Amino acid sequence: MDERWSVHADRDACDIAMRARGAGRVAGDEVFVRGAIPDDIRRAVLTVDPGAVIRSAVEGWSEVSLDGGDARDRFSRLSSLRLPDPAGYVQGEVARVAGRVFVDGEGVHVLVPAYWESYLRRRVEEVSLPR
Amino acid sequence: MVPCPHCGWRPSTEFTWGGELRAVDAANVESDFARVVLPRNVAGVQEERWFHLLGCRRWSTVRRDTTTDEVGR
Amino acid sequence: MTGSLRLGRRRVPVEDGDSIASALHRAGIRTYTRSLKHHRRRGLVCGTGECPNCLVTVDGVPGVRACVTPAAPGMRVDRERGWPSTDRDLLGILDRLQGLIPVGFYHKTFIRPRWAWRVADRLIRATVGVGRVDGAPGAPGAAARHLHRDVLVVGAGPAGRAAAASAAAGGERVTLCDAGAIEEPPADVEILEGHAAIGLYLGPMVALASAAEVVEVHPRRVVIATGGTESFPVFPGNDLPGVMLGRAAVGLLRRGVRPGKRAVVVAVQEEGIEHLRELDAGGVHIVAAVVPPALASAVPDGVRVLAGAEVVRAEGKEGVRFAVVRDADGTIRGLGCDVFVLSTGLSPRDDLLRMSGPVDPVEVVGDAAAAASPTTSTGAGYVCLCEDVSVGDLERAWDEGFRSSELLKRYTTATMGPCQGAMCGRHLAAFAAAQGATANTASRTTSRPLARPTPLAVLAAAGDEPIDRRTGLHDVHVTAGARVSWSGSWLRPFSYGDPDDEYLAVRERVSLMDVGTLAKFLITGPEAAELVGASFPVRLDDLAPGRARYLLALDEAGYVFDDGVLCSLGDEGWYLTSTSGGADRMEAWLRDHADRRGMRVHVIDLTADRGAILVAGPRARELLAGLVDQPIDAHAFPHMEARELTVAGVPCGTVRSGFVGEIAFELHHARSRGPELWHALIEAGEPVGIAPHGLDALEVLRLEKGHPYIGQDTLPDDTPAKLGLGWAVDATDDAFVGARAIERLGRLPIGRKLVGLAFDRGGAELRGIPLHDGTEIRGRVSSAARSPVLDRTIGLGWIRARDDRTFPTELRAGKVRAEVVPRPFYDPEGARLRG
Repeated sequence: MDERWSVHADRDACDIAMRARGAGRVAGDEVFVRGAIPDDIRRAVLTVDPGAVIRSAVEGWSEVSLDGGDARDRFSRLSSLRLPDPAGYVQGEVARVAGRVFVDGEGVHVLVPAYWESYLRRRVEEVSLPR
Repeated sequence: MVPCPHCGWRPSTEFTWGGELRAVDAANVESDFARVVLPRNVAGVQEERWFHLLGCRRWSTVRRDTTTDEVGR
Repeated sequence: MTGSLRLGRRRVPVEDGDSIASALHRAGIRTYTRSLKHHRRRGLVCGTGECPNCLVTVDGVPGVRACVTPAAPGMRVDRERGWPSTDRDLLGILDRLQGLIPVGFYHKTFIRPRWAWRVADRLIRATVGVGRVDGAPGAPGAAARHLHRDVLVVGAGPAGRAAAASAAAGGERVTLCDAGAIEEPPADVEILEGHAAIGLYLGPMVALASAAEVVEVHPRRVVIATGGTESFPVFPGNDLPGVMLGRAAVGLLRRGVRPGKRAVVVAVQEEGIEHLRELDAGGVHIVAAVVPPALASAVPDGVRVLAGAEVVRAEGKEGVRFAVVRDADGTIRGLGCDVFVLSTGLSPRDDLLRMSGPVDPVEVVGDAAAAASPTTSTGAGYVCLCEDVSVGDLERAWDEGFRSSELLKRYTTATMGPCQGAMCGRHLAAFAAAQGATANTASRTTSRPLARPTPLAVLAAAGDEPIDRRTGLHDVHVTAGARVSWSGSWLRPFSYGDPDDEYLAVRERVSLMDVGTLAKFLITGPEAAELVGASFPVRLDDLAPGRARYLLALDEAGYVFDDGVLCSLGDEGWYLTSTSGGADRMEAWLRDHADRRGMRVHVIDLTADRGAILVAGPRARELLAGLVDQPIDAHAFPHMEARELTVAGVPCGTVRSGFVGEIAFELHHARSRGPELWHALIEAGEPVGIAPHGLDALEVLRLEKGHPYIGQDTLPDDTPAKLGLGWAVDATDDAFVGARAIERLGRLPIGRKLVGLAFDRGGAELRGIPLHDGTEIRGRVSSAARSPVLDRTIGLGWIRARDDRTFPTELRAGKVRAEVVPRPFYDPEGARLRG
């Protein structure tokens, strides 16, 4: 997997970037894509906004996934965010830090800035212990 | 609960508060002192700045009644 | 299943269905505790788990409500309060010495001599507790979980179950909770038994607590169906054991225990009449029934009726022996009894409702929504059982000037006990109203979470560990044996074992430091130059691509809140690095300007994305030369410039900076490639004696150059001039945030400044010591350390100007002489770092 991208561009270009699979709207001028950005979308973004900045987010962001039937229940022990159903993107406080959360058929994927990776893993482990 | 235009209504603990909305600059040194150091501090609805630190990390301007703490959009 | 429990040394038989209270009552126990201040005997009152009287310690766990806790054979029950025992309490004498300990006495006594309070405090604590907690930390409970629902119904009585059923029938996702068990739950409704609502918060969010966990429910709307509490009337003697509310009496009966042999029953409403009937049918001899005239005909046959009578007082010593009432015609009668049952109506259990605001989607149904029955108070008697507050205490407090329910509460502590006003809150408000307080000041006191006492172990949900940030080199430091510890919100290496050698490595050879914690931002877009120009107090139009500049960050009041280095990347924009730990504030501040000025710019946070390794020392260039393929001599790569280099195969944005005072290269690289780069540098540096350094060595190195740490050496209202950094502000620039403030402050004399200090002895322990001139304190030492290269103790500190606006130059820190000296202390010309 391991591709993820941050798109910083004006509103219209960001709207185009949102067509990519695994795209989440961070703000009016920022889109986060968990996965690859197809070439045609990338070209369209740069056409509408030649000053758009598309940077790999692999280094700066770390992902910890919760899968299995109890993924949502485990997530509910980490955050008060309401998860989209059945799939989608939400951002806000997760385990008391800023998180970006993608939900799809495979589970709940939590991303945090890389300096919190170790911390997030510990918190996820705690809520995954058998009770 | 604070309304963020990108992320929806969120607990205020996800934000930092930026004070009441002020002009960006002032005409001269004297009026700048008032602009920075003397807020209007209304008892009633004021516009104020909130930064969504744990979410989109963008600023928004929110209307809040300082006497009832009710927040509007 | 029968058996027995132990009460102290007594064995008490337990039968099926018993609560602890019913088992004890059957065995003849009437006194459960001694009251807080006066150590009066107290017995069962409410029977529903709301008053404080039956709190006992069970199997070592204090604060258990005997009336609602099932009894089990083998339990160890201990009563609290009373010395040497609850039954024979020598402190009972305090009841007769009430005059010596009036309400609020602890605010006025034990003030002199000063040790008196310490002694009194310990004594008072020993007499007032409701049990002991063993101090060992418990295992953390399960993490709190969050439920998102359409409707939460609090309370599973008839009204609550009906509300839940109707919401579920309407297709809503419903959760029904109750502090106790839930019988016959409606279909399609999720139930949470044993979960009490402890608070209602904005959202709305309702926090529930069970014996094991906290659940935070986020419903779209809340229905409160918490029912009502039986009213507790106030009259002299109302706290005697044997004086109890109707539900308590009937509760005992239903568990097979008669509340007493001879009962006087006061019944004011329907429910009271039902209690009366049940007691009569259960074999309790009803001495008399005191009812309003309208209900006289509802009294069972054969029971003496005193229609329209009023309660005067209860009399007795160890328990109630007489109920004294006044007939409708004025005759006073003393009725012999051993239980005095009071069913005087309900007041809504509304503390949760009162936590909500006018716009919250909260609805209340059932008894919780009913109007409260009128409070009955004869003008004397105990109002607050938890805190031993009588009507006389309230009157005394009122006389002393505490004239609102909120002030009375705080001064007398009424409503502050375990019942949290369930029994007495309305009496407090009614008292204030009767005294003439306005509607505003005679209202119920503010209801706040927690609505029920909850053990800390349950509230301290797992996951309360500190949130640590780590660089990509963390494991490398740990493996190298570094002492890694907190620096702000980061875990950083302080030393790798020999901080003195680490220092020497920087000054004489070459050293590495992990500076990945620096805040890093890429600022790009059509108006990026405008944003940095408006944000910092320097002209940047003359900063050529590849050049870097040291900057101060000023807020709108002209105060320094951060510093950093800005590099021009030409068309690509600007790269800003600033203090570790200041990243959030810097980002918010930059975005604020960009947003309010409507600038077309992107602020991209690279703090996590990039690692950074500092290579510093006189032999730094020698080390790097073998690992890069570009010229890096002083001419090709001067001080305060930035280049793209490839070091040991790793692309690095490189800046020549100068914090430690030697030739230094800051290598900014992709985070994941940090370990690779670090190891390559260490290996290549071995022949020249490379050794990495941590924060301990850094402290001395930067101090020798006189660099202040923002927040450690600076105060929140420090301007550039006060810090001696006026040179970092461009006098010709007037278009930055804080420019006007700087202009205004420039017209004022400087009253305080940061200076360099040289001490005649001592070391780092001087930090924080005030500086004085023999008569007055003139400042404080903010940093201090022994400088090996100068063989002297140096430091930074702030000092105040004298009345004539000059600054002292000779001061003392304690007994140590401190001389104000120019900074930097080491290599003042900067020749070594510019080389």
